[in-house]
Amino acid sequence: MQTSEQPTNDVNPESYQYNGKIDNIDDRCKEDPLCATDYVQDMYDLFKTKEGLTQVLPHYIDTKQTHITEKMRSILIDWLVEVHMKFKLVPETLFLCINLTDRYLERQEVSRSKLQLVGVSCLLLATKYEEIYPPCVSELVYICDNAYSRVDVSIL
Amino acid sequence: MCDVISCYSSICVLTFRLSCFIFQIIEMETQILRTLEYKITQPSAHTFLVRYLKAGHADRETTHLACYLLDGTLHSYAMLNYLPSQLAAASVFLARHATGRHPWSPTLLEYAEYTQEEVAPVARALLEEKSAASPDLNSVNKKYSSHRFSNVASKPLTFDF
Repeated sequence: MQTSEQPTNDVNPESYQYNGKIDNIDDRCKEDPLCATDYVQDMYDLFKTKEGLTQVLPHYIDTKQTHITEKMRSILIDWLVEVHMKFKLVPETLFLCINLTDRYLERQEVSRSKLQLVGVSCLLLATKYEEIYPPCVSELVYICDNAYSRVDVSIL
Repeated sequence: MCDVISCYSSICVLTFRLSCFIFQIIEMETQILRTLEYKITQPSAHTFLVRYLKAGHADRETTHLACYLLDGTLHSYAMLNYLPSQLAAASVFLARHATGRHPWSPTLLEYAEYTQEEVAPVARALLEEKSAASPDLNSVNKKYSSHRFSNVASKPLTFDF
């Protein structure tokens, strides 16, 4: 586990979390094939083992990037959240897009002017994975063209 | 070169610039795929959130509040210290607490495999990071201020747990 802090409270075996009734949440939708109740728990067990491997290293900006700062990453993500909202995409796309951006920035040094390009390309990749009707490249370019000056100015 | 073309037609310039940018995006996309060795998908925090909300018997407002808190963590560089499942658990914890329910339940303990004592510090860090966030970066607040998301952005969040 990567937590830097230790639990502050002592474990209390009398607390509600140990004594209450456990509800089997998969029983409720046993009939629904979309819930995949037969193997959904196995899927989440696998996700738990995988999540640490696809996680980026914390502090990667300090070690890998020279032109980009923490603040620029936040501005880029703020812009991506806005674009994501404008296109009405599914939430999963946003999380995948930001994870892709982080993982790319962790491995490759990127100049300040290319940062938005990386963000948009990751959004394009993520939409192709998650969406039923992904937006086409020219729509993304249109969004970039309008916002480029704004993001650029706020970065500088 | 753009200037020369623009002497003839302004529409041409637009098309030329557009195709330049499209080419740049596609080239960058290929480079990203090569760098990541085509390993794209990952279990994201939202994947875990869906499961934990179900385990937490969340109503509409709790769901929106948890999504709002989780989207808020994306901006923060310090939140990369935590695993996606920890952030999802902390969001559910805070959302249940803010809607007046017991923050953690036996069902959540069973499915999230985190105890209340493990989640509370993450939730506290999440709230601290949220209150320290820059007011200029408000796209998440704007998104969740709408009626569609039950205006959860204005809901008061407290530290008393």
